[in-house]
Amino acid sequence: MSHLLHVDNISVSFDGFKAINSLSFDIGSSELRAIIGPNGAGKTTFMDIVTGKTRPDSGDVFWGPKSHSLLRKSEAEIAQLGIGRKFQKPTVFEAQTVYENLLMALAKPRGPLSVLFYRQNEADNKKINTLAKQIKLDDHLDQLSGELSHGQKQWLEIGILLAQEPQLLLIDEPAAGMTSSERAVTITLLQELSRTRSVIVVEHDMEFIRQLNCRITVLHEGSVLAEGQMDFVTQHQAVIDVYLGR
Amino acid sequence: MTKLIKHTIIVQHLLRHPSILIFLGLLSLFTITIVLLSEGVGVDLVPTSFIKTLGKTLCLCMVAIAMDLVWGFCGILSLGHFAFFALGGYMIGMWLMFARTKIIVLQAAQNAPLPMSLDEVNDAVGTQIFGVVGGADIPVIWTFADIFWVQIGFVFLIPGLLAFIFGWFAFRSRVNGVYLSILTQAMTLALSLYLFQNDSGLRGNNGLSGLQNIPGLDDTPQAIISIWFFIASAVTLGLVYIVAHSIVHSKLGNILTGIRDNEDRVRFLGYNVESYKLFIFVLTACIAALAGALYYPQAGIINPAELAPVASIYLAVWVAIGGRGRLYGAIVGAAFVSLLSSYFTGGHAPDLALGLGTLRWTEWWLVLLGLSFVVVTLYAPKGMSGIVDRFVIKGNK
Amino acid sequence: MIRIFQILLIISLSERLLTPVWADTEFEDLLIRNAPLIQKSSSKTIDPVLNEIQAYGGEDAARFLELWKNKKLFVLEETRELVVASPAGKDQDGKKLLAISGFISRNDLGIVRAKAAKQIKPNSGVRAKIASALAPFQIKSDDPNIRSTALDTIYRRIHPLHLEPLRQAMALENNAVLKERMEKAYVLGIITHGNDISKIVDSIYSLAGDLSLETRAILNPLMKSEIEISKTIPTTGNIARIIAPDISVRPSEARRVNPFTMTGGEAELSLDAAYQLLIDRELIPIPVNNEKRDQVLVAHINSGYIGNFEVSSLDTDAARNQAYDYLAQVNNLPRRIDEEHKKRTISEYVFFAKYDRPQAITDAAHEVLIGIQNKVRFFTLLDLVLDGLSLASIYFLAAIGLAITFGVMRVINMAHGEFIMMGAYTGYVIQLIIPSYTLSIIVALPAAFILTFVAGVLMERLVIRHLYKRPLETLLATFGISIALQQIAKNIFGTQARPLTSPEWLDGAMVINDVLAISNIRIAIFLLSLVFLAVLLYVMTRTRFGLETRAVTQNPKMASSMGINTDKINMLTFGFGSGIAGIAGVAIGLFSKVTSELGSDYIVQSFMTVVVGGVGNIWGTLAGAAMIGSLQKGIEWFNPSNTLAAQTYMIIFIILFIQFRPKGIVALKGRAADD
Repeated sequence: MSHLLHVDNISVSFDGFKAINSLSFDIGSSELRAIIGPNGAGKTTFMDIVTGKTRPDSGDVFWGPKSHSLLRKSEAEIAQLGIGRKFQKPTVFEAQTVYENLLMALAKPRGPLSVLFYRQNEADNKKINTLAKQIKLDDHLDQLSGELSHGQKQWLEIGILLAQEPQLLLIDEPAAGMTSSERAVTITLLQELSRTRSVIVVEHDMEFIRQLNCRITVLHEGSVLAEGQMDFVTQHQAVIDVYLGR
Repeated sequence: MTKLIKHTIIVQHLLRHPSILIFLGLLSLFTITIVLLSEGVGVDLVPTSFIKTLGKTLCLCMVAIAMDLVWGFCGILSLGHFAFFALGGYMIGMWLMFARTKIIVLQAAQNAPLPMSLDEVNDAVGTQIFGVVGGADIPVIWTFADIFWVQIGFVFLIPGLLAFIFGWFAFRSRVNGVYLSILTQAMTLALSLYLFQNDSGLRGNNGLSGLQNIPGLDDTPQAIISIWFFIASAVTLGLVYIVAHSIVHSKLGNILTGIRDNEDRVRFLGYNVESYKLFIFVLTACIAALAGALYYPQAGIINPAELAPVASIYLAVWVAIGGRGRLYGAIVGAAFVSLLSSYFTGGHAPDLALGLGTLRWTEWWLVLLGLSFVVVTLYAPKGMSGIVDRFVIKGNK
Repeated sequence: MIRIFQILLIISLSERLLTPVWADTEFEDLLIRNAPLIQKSSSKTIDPVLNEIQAYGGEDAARFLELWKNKKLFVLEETRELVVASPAGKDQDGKKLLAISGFISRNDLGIVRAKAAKQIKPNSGVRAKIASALAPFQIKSDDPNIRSTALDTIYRRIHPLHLEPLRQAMALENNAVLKERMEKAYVLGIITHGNDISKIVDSIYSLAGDLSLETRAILNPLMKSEIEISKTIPTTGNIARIIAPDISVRPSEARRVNPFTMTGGEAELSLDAAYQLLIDRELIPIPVNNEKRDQVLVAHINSGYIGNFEVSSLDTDAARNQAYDYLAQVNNLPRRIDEEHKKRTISEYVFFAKYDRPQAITDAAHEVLIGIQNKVRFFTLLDLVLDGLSLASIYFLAAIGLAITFGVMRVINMAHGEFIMMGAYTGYVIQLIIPSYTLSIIVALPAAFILTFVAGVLMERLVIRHLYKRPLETLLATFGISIALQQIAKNIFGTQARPLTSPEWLDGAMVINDVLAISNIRIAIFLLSLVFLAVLLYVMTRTRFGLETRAVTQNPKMASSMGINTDKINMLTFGFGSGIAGIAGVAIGLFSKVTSELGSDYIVQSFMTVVVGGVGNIWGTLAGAAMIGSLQKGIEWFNPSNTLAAQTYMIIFIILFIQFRPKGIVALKGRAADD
């Protein structure tokens, strides 16, 4: 089977500390996957490597049906290939309206000049409206995004990712700081999204992951400790020892 | 054809943002009033020297707009834009000085028995211009000094190229924040030290002088020339404002503020942040150079002291006092502070008699300016336009 | 005979001079004979007189020279007697008085009015020659100081007449230092004035490895050569080299080629220079050059035309040449010289440089000079390294305070330079109060620290504290403070430079040899920066304050959650960093002018030191200072005439360096650095 993303035996260390240790990882298209692990297990570093922020010391990362290597590409190029990333803290452009946030993210030519001469049109308007509906922000389009609630900012960030029309979404702790009703909406949203694209969710909250109902990868000390469905993982002795048991 | 498109885009832009028209209206009103009151063509209420001061102030407003674009909107605190400004001045100054010296040389040789050969003309011009630094040869960089359009091209090309090379290196290696500021300051210092050398080819610390005399216009009085430059500065300021405004209110503007507020987010949206920074850095360098090219013929002299690092910091001060992220803030800040500075340091201001002694403005103005700058940064981070905003928002409610 | 001379003198010069009253010894006779030359002396005409006096010798001669040199000799207007005189105050009318005594008789002649005697005033050139003539007498003096003075004079310029007295004095000398100097002076004398070639060559070799300036001043002229021209390659004489005009480069010059121009040196003789030489040596007639051509053309202008040529068309060289060639043909004028002809003429001659001295001498001198040169180069390099080291310690002193505040708080303090200035002015003010230079410096160091510490703490409390979330704005706010402080200093102390005088024991230098001397002040600054380094390392690694500061540097949030009062640490660190700037200010003020702009001269370099070194690390700042200091000196060495260019190149290098190591030489790695 062809993978959408194939991470092949990567390692990286900072000042002698091995953040990622011979990690291999695959994800197919239209798959929803959760990654869990204790602090320092290498979750964020893993995302940094896939999105081009950190270069691994060894190993390789391949993307898409043609298995292009991602290592020599910049963050912007990787994003343009179709990998969207949501940060741990909600990061939206707070000085700009929801509409402007989404407009910036729309899949369009990304050179300075084409952006300078870009004119708004009906088709783009429609796309933005649809997106806004999907992330429940259609009533807030003209509001400054800095004035949104914490949960709304999380959704807006997901909306920004969706506007890029990515094939893979990397989502770092989406449930942090959400009310339980917002959380429910988020779970539905993520499951909905994974029907048309792959989604990787990094999360601490076991309850949230249980509700996501998907395949789980457990990271520990920079490599994969276990991988499987919720029941398998929670029964896994090693996982219980290093993570759940504590 | 492309001209037509641009034209319509600008017209569209104007229609969408009537606030531009308010600014342009005020600017034209100001310009016409001053011209009508001028010594040269009007009722002789405003002396020529003050016309020049106003014309120069308009140019400073232009650099302030450039600074606001690069700092207020894109978050790059450049301490090098005054270097581009001065470099633009140098480029036009070379033509002014060369062409005028050549005319003088040819006039002096009119009664010589033999007509001068090209070599002889160049020798004579070289001795005239470079005698002060002990040279007589015309340096290579002056090769095109005689050709007006080439030097005009250089006004944009040379500062633009410098900005491009510097920016390409700096942005590529992701130098950010205060590091970048210090690096731009270092660039400015290096350039000014280079120009201070006698063998830099630009007359060392003597700089270029006599720039107020326009070649071929010796019969036209300065009173008239100053009006021309004043109007030209006003028109250019208007154009620069329109360009800046259309950038700020386009999607490009959104991305620039995005870079300012969260560079990584923009990068992970798939935008090549470095090329955006480079684009705005080079563009604003060219605007600064254009402003310099209009400024120095009004100032009459340019020397390396003009591009001391401190000048660029003053530029940042103007924009901060006026208000970052607001185009009109930059203009108000530059005009207000620079006019006030020349008023107080020029010795025009009456001394203030305090109980214990007199306060001499020439001595204490800078202290006041420095401290007021601290106060503005602490208590009014949006500058004067922040205060205006507060009133406008209140008014709306 | 004497009388006749006297009369002649009076008539011819209308000058009254030495009277025959005391003209009863041979020496007096000598003086009278040379009277006009002595009284109206000039360094061009005095030599024969001095030679004669020297040849006469004896105590009289020495005493005469001594008094003459010191302008103690006078001639009485009335009696024309030669007297020795010294000032003796003023009389009631305020007229100056002189106490006089006879030169020969040495009798006290009482006091006369200054107007009654005419002083014999040799100018400085003549006095130098008198000193030289006096040296042979002084070298045998009983007083070692006088002998030493005489040696100084001899070293300044060795005269053939010095040789014999030197040789005699050498044998008698019992002071080892003086004896050595005498022997060397004798060797130098032999080389310059000797006749025996083998003796000269031996003397030259005996100087091998001697770095003193005198030695080089004696040896270098031996290699002097003159350019000569002949029709054939010369076979006689000590030929230095054959010069091919426009091609060959003088060997010693070639080595000194500027490394920034990759193309090598200029030809020793350009074509034009070679041709001019031919003209100067009258080997060829003065040719028709452009200037002469134009003169001829002007002379032949006839109502706007020269022959068939319209004058207004002659605005290029080619056109003028054509017009001249036409005139030359018609009027039978000398032909114009073109480049081709010039080259052909030059190729008919051989240009060569010929040594003044015979080959044995030049060979020996060459060999010894090469050895000396290598040694000089080594010491120059050492000097350069030491120079770089002291510059590095200055940068370290100026930057370390900045590095601490920047490292801990990520705050750029643009007013740091003004703290340095405040330190320097503190030193100046304290010197006004405490006159002893040593004591005042000892007081000034802690005083400057306390003053700038307080200023730093105040600034942190009032301004910086409110801006921790906006680092770029601290840059601007502190800049505001910087211009305010600078202007306040200007208002208080004025714009002119104020002196901060270093104590005497810091004035001298440690002299290793004539090439290498290290000034004490540089050593002191180097030591001071070592002390700083040690103190800082101690504070940062061994004290509670240092521990907490490092904790705040690495992770402020974590530090504060562990009970560290980050607010207090920030305040103290800022004060500490500023205080160090104050001490650095005192040190910098000692060797540079104290002005209100003192700080801004150092601020950009300090920033670059911090940035290049890497933030938040003492060793990094040290490395940055070492790199910038040695780099600047290194570039200056390549291009010594131009410090401005050196600074320009250095900044460009630093800008490039930052590209490749954006976090500096000593960089924090990993997640801690991501902010």
